[in-house]
Amino acid sequence: MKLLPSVAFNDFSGSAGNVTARKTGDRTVLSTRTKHSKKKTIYQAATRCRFADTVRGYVDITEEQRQGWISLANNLGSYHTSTGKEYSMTGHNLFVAINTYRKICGKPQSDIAPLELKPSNYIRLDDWWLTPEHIVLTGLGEKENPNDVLYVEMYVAQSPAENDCWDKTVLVAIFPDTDWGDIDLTSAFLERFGTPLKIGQKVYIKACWVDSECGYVKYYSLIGHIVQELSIEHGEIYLPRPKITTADLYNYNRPFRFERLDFEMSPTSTNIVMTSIDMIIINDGSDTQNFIMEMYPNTIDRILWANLWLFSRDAADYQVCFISISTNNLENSKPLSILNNTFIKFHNRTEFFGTYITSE
Amino acid sequence: MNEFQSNGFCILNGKIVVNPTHPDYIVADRLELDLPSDFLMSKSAMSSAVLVSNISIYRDGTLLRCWIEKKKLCIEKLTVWDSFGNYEIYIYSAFVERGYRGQVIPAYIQSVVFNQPELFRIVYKVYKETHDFIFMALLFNKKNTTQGQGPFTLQLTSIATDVSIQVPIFFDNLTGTRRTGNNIVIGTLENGSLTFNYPGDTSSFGEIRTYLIFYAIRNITNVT
Repeated sequence: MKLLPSVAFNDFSGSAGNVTARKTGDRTVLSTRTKHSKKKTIYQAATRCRFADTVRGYVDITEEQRQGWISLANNLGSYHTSTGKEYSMTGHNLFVAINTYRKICGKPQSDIAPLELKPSNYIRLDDWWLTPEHIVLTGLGEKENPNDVLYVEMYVAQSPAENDCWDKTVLVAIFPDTDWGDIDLTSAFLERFGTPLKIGQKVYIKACWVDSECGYVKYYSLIGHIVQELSIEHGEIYLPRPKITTADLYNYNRPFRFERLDFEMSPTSTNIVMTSIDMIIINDGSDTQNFIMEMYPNTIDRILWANLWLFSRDAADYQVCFISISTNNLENSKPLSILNNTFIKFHNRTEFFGTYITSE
Repeated sequence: MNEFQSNGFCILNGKIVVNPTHPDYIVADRLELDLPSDFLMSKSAMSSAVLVSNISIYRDGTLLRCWIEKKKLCIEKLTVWDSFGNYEIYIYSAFVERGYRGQVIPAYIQSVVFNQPELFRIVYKVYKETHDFIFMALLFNKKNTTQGQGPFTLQLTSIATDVSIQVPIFFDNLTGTRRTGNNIVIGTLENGSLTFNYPGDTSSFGEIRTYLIFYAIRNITNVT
């Protein structure tokens, strides 16, 4: 864009060829017509297609619906886009903006202007990792609005000299919810950008909770940092959350099976960890004092603890037993043993639940 | 209800009395208690509580599911012992948010020794102590020779002496046959001593296994 005290274009507004002139105060501003880059990636094609569809949608709505958008836009005043720019809003722009984000969130076009616009919210963060192997945000907390989704844009600077790239971020993922406050962006990032991060690269992340029904992106958190091995806030090594699922176990032809298996330990580097457990074992055989099953080798690598002491409860008669669950890492066998230490035996259906501490 | 809270982790200590004839109870699917408005945790993984019925002599009971959801303490509703009148729910439990990455338990283990080995034999013991709370899991045998109703006192050496709680203690039945729930007695842990009774005649018990697991907040008298 060029600012000219032009003689040729004095008092002139409009376009000629690829040049557009407009008056700003007593000066004339010339700008060239914007052209898209002609790049044809899947994401760019989808974005252009979505935008074009939405623009066309405004033509197809009724005049009454159009007046609704215009009225809402007039009440709104200015409008902030996700790139941080502020615009005076028109009914058309508001329709396109809202419906663009609604479509990103998987919602259909809304022809009718909403009664009110619920702006997006900042995220909170406890810690985060930007490493070549893991892009993880933790401590995002619970969403307060059931319609909220987590909207995440990212950009990786192409050189150390490239700064303030907040207007270059692109959509990486929409998350309907977090996994207990955690978001793992690694696979979404790889799918979007193709190559993993490298130590020293500068990364920009723009994230917010946006009401998927409303689609009004106004407030968002801007977080950026250099890629490093340790977490950004607390300087911790990334440890995955150790869980045991049915996929981690095999039990040959044993006469018992899991109806439910939800077993997770706090990710720490010690073997004294807080463990939450909620599982049900169906026993099709005779009453027994123990259940023993084998874990696949990669599971034992994630599981540091050796013993866990807890209660079990029979699902039918509610008898409570004192149980130990232990792991072992033998050369040819990696058993997970559930042992009943009371004189009561495991019956048909046994429940194990609670929050306990593992022991060495 | 007493509470200890840290980011992503909390302990609740207390007892509630449930009236199974109350109209609200009858129509409820689960029990809910409002936590303080400034309570940090809004959602927890599954934890547990202990139901203690009003059956005479040995107050039968069982374990209940218990968790935090939307800043409410939610407890599973079991109607098995409703016909025996009001029952109690003891909550000496930890609640944790999954994915918590802080130092969860900066604990160390002390030895726990029974000073009445002629009456009881310890089978398993787990004890962890932090500045703010203790965790204990005990399984011990009553010996054949132990007679009478008690009270029996077990001095647990080397544990924190600033914990004072009343805690439910399970024991298994004599023969291992199926029955509904367990026999439960209420023990008192105070000044490092665990005191409890077998209010019936223990002479017929033979060897039985007695067990308890709890989290207790330190420096607070846990009364409700």
